[in-house]
Amino acid sequence: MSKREILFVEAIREALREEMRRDEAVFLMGEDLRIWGAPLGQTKGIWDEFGDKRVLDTPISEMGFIGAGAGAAALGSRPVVELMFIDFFGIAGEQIFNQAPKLRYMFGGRMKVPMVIRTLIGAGMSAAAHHSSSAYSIIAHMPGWKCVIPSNPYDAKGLLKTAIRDDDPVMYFEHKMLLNTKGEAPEEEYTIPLGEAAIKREGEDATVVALAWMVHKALKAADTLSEEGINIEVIDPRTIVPLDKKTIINSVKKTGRLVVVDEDHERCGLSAELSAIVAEEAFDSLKAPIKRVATPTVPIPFSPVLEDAVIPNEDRIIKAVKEVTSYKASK
Amino acid sequence: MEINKEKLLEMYRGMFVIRHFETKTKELFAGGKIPGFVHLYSGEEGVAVGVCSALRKDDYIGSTHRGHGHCIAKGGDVKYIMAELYGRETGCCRGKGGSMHIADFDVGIMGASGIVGGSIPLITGAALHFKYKETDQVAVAFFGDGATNQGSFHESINLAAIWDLPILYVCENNKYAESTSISSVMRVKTVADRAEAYGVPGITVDGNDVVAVYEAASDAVERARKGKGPTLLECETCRHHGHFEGDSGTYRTKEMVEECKKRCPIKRLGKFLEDEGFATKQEIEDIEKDVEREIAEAIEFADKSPWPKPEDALKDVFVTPYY
Amino acid sequence: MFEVTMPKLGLTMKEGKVVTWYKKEGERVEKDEPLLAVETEKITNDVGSPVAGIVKKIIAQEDTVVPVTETVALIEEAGVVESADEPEDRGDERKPLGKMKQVVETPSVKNRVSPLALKIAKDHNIDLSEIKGTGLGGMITKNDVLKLVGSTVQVPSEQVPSEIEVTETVEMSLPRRKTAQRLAQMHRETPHVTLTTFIDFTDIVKIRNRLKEMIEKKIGKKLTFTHLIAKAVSMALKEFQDINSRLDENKISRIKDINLGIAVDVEEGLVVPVVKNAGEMSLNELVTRVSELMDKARNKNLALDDITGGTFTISNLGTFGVDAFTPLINPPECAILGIGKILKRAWVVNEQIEIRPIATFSLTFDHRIVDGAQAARFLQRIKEILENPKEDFK
Repeated sequence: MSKREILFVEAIREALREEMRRDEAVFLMGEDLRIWGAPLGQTKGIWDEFGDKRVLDTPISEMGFIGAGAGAAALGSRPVVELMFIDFFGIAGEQIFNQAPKLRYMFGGRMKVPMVIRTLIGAGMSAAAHHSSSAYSIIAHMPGWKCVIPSNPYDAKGLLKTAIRDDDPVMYFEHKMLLNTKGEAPEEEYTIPLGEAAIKREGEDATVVALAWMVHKALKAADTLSEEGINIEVIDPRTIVPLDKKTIINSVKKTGRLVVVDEDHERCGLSAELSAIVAEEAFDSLKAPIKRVATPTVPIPFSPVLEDAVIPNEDRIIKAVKEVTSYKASK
Repeated sequence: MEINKEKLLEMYRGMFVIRHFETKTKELFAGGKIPGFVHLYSGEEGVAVGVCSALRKDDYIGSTHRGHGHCIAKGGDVKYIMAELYGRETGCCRGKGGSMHIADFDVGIMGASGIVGGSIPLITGAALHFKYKETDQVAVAFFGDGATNQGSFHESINLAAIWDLPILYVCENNKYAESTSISSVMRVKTVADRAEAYGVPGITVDGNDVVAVYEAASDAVERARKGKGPTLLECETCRHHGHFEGDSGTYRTKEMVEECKKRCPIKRLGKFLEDEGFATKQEIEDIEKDVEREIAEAIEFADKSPWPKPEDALKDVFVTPYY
Repeated sequence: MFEVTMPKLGLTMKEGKVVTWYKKEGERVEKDEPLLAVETEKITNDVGSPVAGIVKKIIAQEDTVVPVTETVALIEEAGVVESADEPEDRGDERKPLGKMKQVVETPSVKNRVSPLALKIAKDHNIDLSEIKGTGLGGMITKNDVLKLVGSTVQVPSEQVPSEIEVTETVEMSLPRRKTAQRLAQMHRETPHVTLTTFIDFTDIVKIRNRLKEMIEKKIGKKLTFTHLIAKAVSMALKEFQDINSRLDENKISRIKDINLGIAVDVEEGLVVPVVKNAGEMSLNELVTRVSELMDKARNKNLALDDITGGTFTISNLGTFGVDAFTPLINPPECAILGIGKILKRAWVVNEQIEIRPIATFSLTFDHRIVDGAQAARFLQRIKEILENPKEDFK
């Protein structure tokens, strides 16, 4: 494979373009996709290539067009619908929670809904409480959505292509802090299967599971920790539905310690889910209690100082890792 | 749109199938055979049959919680629908949907919905698919008067209007949103008035005149097929029973219900057919007997069908196996 | 064509002077675009075009003074010009939004007819295109058709009426058709009223008996009651000019001459020969003329002049054994008198029952021309003349 670096946002555009060229059934739908090219340029240039028919600008009617996307998918189209920010899910809640993901089941498995929703997540830009959520835990909690949360351009492209080809509803989460990060991605055609975690760094002292922006923070923390002789294994699940439990469990069995770094809220969130899985399935391997580094269950605040205070950062990760690696059971 | 003896008798049969199905469903529900919620369609048959008679098999409908009528009118097999109401393995949704979630994509039933207004965006998406694929299929959204106060209705009809989607928005105005009189929660006089806000034709017809519904729907279907966009078709009707089985119905007087029953679309068509020389009493009775036999067979089929296996509860969430 | 008028530009403005036309004939003008400048006593105003279109004609040239509301130019309306990059035309029905909202109780159903309605319409030769159906879907029902038939025929619901056996179908003759058209038209358009009275023929019978032989000897013709009635009617008409009149369009024309039409049944049907100037004729002359016309009618020798120009008509069906009937006005005449059979009846005269020859006279008149009271007086006058015949009949 050729070596080449591209931006995360380019990876998204490439995946969309390639899938639209490959399959006539794929079209884009959402707010401001044509002239703006989506708020952060994720669809820039696609309208120029594919025209009005395949890039639909919608009114600001999330419930209407997400439902319409599901309906079109139910009959064989493969719409890639953009929900501008995940924070808007409540507007379309009926279609996101009650319709799109339940149709196949309600109708006895006799149909399918091959729709992708792309949506922006994450804090870090002082976008405040209505534009900074992660919220994938809520989506993953409800039956019927596959959830893809890439952390780098390579994964972003390969996973988006897979998501578009998948026959089920897939929610694809784009972290806004990552869109302008660069990474290697070959020009050649490739896809990444859903449900395969990536081991971003091998280590033996503790397992750190992180997603999206948090992967980068975990890796920086790992650098710092290695200087102190602590080697952590960083695992990026990449998709949380389906979830590659095996890679996580195997890692914990090796390290005996788990820190879950999660930008989503702590209460009933993904960090709790991962902790529970490990507690259930690798209890005997644990040498220390599981630690969670998650965003407290408060709305994401506006002021940079306040925002920094709630979003997991390197220091909190380092602190948590040190706690689990230095843990001594009190008898 | 030919309207001749055959078409009229077909519509009579269609309405009578629904009525008899619902009458039996009421009995079976009361007898404990059918679990869950049941919302009966009796009294509104003119709407489903009038509209679906104007459709092709490859056209699609989106239905509601009160959906048995739509699904039967669109060509759903009463055997599999009844089995679904029974919650059996042989049901059209393998017992996973029940009364409120009947679907059969093979005959264009995109599915009923338990949420008021919930299926409107989905069936609008079907119309989007038809337009995208450049087929000449048409979609029909069925919903009640209550749903026209849902955002999903307004968002969807606006999308269909701006994109000229091939769809009919068919409002069954039975005057009650569950127990609430529509006039107390809607300031405009008719649901059709709402169409103007979206630049869409709005038409009100007597929903208990199946021929009138058929005529109006045919016009709208033709418009849609020709790419001229959606129509809001309001059919004024009334239901014979409560919102759901078990509804005390205290928001309507006995007289109002009696008055409604007098407007029965089936009796009206039957009398018309006889009075006007379209059919003899004998021909009509023959149809009714045939329908009664068909429903009896459906009930027997449902009753004898196996229950689904408990482990199947985990199947069918995803196309790929359950995670 | 839209008429641009001199606008009233101020509370007191009565006229204005056209100072400048900003557009020439044939030029396009948009709505509200300045079209002309108007000078009033106070100020010069630019007047925007009330519509978009092409200026077809400038009526008030520059420097002419025009009263307020008078036309100054004509514009052919032509809507708004779409700019080239406007989205494609979405079809006409999308445009007039106001008309989109329609509440249709029965959608347009053309030529939708139930089998029974169709059958009845065919039997009665009824044009279905005029009927608005009231059945399901606006279909035309048997009752819709029966209403037009004007029949109270009860059609049993399960049955289709049996075929009516037609022995022969004959095209209407031209005169028959003309009569039919004229009568149908009269019936549709004329508000007509019929007044009826009984007339005691005792004295007229006596007179007839007295004069019969004499007239026959003198002119060789048989005196009939029709002659005598014609004489009496002519006399009465002289006094009732309003009835001796015709209605054309909105004008009532009172006619000087009394031209009396007498309906007669001949082989082809009804003809109405007209006795011109009957008012000036003696009984002898009248008998002579009537007899001549009757002969001509029977021999199909009537000239056009013999059957036109009538001002009043008498129709005697008494000879056919009819006791009373309501005659139809022969348009454009004002009235017609129908005469029934002279019948011997028990009649109260001076508190005694006597046997008297009585006939029923029915006067049908056009209520647009005369009122009931006037017509009644006219009928009473005929009665008076016939019941108390004087020297006129000699």
